[in-house]
Amino acid sequence: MPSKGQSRSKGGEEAKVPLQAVVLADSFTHRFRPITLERPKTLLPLANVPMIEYTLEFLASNGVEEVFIFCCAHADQLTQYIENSAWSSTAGFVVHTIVSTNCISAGEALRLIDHKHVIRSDFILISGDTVANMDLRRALEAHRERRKTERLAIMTCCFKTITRRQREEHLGESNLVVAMDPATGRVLHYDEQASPSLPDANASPKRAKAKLSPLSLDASLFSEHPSVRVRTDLQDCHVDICAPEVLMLFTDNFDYQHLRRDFVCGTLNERELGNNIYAHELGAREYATRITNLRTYDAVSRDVIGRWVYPVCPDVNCLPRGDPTAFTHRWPQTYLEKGADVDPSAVVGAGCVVGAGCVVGPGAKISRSVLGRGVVVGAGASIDGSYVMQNAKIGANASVTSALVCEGAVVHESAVIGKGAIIAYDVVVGAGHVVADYSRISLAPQPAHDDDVDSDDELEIGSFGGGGGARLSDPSRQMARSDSKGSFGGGGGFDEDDDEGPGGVYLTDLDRALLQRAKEGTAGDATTERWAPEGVGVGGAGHAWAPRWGEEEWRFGIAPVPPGSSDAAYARDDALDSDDDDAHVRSGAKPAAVGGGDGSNSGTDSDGEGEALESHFRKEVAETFLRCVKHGYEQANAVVELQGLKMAENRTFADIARYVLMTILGLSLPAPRDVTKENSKLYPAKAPDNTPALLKSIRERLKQWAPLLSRFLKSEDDQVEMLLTLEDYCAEDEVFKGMHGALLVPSFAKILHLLYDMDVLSEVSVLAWAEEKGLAGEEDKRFLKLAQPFVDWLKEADSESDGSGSDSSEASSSDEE
Amino acid sequence: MGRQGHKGREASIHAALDDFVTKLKRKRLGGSSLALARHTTEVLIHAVAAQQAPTAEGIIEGVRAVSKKLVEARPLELVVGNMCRRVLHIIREEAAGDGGKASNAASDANDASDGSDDEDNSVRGGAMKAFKAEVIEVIGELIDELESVNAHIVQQALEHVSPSSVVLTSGGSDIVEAFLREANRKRKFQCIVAEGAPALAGHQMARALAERGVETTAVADASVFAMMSRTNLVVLSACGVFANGGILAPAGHHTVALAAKSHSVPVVFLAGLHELSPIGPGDDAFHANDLRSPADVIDYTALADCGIGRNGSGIDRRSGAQAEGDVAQLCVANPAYDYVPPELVTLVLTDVGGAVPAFVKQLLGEIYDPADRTF
Repeated sequence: MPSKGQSRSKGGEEAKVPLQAVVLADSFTHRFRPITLERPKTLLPLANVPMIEYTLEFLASNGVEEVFIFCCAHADQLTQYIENSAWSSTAGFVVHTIVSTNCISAGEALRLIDHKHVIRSDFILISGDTVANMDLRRALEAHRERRKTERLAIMTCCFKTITRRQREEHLGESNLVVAMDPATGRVLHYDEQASPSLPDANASPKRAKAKLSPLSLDASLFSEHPSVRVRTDLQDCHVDICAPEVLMLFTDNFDYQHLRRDFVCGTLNERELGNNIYAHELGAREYATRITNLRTYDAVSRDVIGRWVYPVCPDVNCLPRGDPTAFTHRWPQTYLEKGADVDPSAVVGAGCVVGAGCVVGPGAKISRSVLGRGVVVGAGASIDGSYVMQNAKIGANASVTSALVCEGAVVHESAVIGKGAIIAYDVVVGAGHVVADYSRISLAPQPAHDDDVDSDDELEIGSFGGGGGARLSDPSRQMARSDSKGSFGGGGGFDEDDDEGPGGVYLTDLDRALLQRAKEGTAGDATTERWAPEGVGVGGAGHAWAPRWGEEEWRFGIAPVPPGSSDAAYARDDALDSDDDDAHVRSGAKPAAVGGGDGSNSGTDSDGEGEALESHFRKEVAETFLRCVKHGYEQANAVVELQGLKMAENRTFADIARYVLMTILGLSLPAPRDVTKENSKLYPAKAPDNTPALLKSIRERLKQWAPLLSRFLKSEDDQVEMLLTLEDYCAEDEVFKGMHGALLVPSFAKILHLLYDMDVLSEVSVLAWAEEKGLAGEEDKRFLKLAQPFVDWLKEADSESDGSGSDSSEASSSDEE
Repeated sequence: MGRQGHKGREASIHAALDDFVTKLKRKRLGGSSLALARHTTEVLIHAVAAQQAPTAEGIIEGVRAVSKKLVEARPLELVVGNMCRRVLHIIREEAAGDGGKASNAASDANDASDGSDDEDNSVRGGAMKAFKAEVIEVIGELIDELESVNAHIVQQALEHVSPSSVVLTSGGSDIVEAFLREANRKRKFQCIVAEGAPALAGHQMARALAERGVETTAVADASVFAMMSRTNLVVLSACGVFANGGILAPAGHHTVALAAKSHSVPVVFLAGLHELSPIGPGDDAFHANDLRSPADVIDYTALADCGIGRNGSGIDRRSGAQAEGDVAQLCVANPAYDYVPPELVTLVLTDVGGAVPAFVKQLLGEIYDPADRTF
């Protein structure tokens, strides 16, 4: 009965199948390290509310009734959180958690979900770190409307208009180019690549990606769509509405890992499957952003504080569900929670969020920062642009600038935290210590293979040390394992995604006591043996991590990006790229798709490229045909395959049949050079020793395919053409080079006879061919001479059965004249 | 069995409450204040029906608790609190009205405070059932009354719009539109509509009026002062009326009222009784404005070019703009409401007739009980 609560307001259709959503509560990247070593990223508070709350609220407020949260790393923490939160007992909103600790990518997660058969209709696919206020119903309606007429419109992606600069500087996202049909909103091309980076003296050459590679658009897009709009001003919101087919596609293409790079690009490339992806553009008042890195974390926090995500603002006090915050708003955009104790002489400036139980000492200055509940800020401390989480302590006169200070961390007196620094859970920074810009300090030591790259590459990660398979699915066992090793941070558990294995930090009792003393500031230099003082100062606790992002730190760090840096990068990119400035949109000839319907090559062979095209076409036919042979297709199926090829290449059936015949003949000979490896198994290792054996082999093949050939080669002209091709084949002319056709020369007449017997060749055509050849020069008469016995025999037979068929008699009579 | 029924009802009221509170917080209950008032009252009927207390006082306490929840969800929606007070007032009146029964019930409760006497309980339960039914019936009348609020306000249009006068309004409002259309049936007058940025609902209203044959001029908000010299009457809509006669109105109305004051043009605010609130503008229970999304005011992409990006406009990139700590933050405010002080208000036109601001307190006394000012 309680479930009636929300569904009542919905239409009857929706009531039948509840609107479902899949929340991927794991980003499968490393960008939030080291904080994600200990906690899942989706539980990281944003404006004092865990991110997953925003996502669930977004879904609930848009009428989603059933949510599947896919938990991977730290799954135990996440499931526990969900179980304890009010979401699990909200009427009309069902939350299921799916736990799999050995998934290494979104693709695997979706395959698993597909396997569970829980998705019954179109669903929303979203990441657990999305902050949004968009009207999903509008997008959903458009999607459903489209699906009514176009079953294959399997996905609708949401995009927000934004400037390129904003995307890169403000959000730290990469360069995104989307081509779409402006009339229908169909996405035609999706291209995401890292933005050009700034020149930097100490950048490792490996990471210094010089410039953007030019964008290639398939020329056929322009022939298929009246207009194509190429846009660089879009931000991918990572809110997708998917048909259940999407899950099936993930299962079918088991190598798909990444939602965008593999799935979207893959779907767009395989146009012959007919699946389409559409774009939905957000309105001016709608907001949706996924928090992919610390830069986005900062930007989205600002947007929430700046009320761009209205009504998702701190002072709405809607979240966390069941135990909401109690903020009041004060101009200019300062949010104080009930019970925060701010000294009258302290300055809390614009853009601050101060949680309950905070104590801000006299003379402290706080601006553009978020203080979690119970944060203690000492007298005279200054905090700017930073995120200080629950129960952290900032000592007197300490200075924290554009940094992330996690729960329970302590920054002692007069310490300075530089911009972009990350102080992970329970780290203690010693008094007076200066933490360098962009440094990362964690109680967990840096994993050995904390890779240098910004690591979107799940595959690469997956291949680390035995891969995800080595992980134990039971978190407690894993904990036990790392315990027994006595090591820090789940040892083998690092092989994975960002949201690391559970229990990133393991401390002995001794360490704990030491840490406690360090936090209280009474440890003195007792900590220096345990934790290197270079990283955290005397009396501090934690390990400083080697910088990872190198020169890219400005792009992904929590500190604001230096002004104009992306412009500078682009200016540099342009300078490097001056010679093909205009060539950014280039028509790219697609590589040959095997037997596919790829329309990039038309069959008009002008003299120059004629041979190359012809050769390409021959190869296409051969490969298609060999595929049919290999899989033992029925003739009807083979016809369908070849028909597709005919359409794609804009050829006639006769053209195809000619080459099919040559391939059939070739199958009795050693494999030609250009045949692919798997197909080469179809060929004999060497040619049969004698003519009868060869003929026998050919006869076998022909018997099977003759009906197909005779069906395609109906007219006399086609047959003559076929004979001419056969000549070329045997002579290894032009396109048939290296195909061992010469081996057939001795049997030429016999082959003709065979074809005649099989009804592939009519006698009329043979005679017409003989006549045509009779007029040619001596050179060309080589094969006519070879075939002369057969031609003579035909003529004889013809004259014997005079008048047996009207047109054959005509032909033969004309031949005789 | 009966107990299970009660439990079920309790769960249902809980769910309905939760649903309503969530919707309030999500601001998904847009639409007119009347719709919100209606919705609130319906929730309150459920709440009254679900009360198990054996006395009228108990019921009042229960409803007050529910009211507290509703009001706290979104203190800015004055209407919610107002309807709670109206309902409480009704319960109190009913309790006083059939005084005998209610007090009997109360004394009974006193007699059998540890009452193990089930029979007595059930007898009392029956009496309370009847009492609740009565209350619910009166609340039903309140809902009917809400239906006719607009009609009653609109009826008075002819008394206020004189022939060949010039009436100015700002933004779009259903009630003002209906009011002017009613006036237009009998009177010939001119209308000036300020667009009411950032929502710009004035555009639609100007169009609607023009289509009905009202001679309409649309102007930008900035021109209100200039147009005021020609104006004879300002008609605006209120979102709430405070005890002191001050008005909670859509943002921009304060400016209009000030302009009217300086030209000595009368300002009439249209407000239903359900919008009258016993709290004051400086009250603890009410001290914040609602700041809407800046997206209405400024494009999100404009942020990219603010402050830090001064290099875009041809100013040298290296000079100054990159100075240390020079990280600009663009604050964009989009407040939803204005407070119009009583001295700028000539008349509050409610469904029971016009009232000067000073008279509002009198009206409040008739519809609310002083004990329910805060919950």
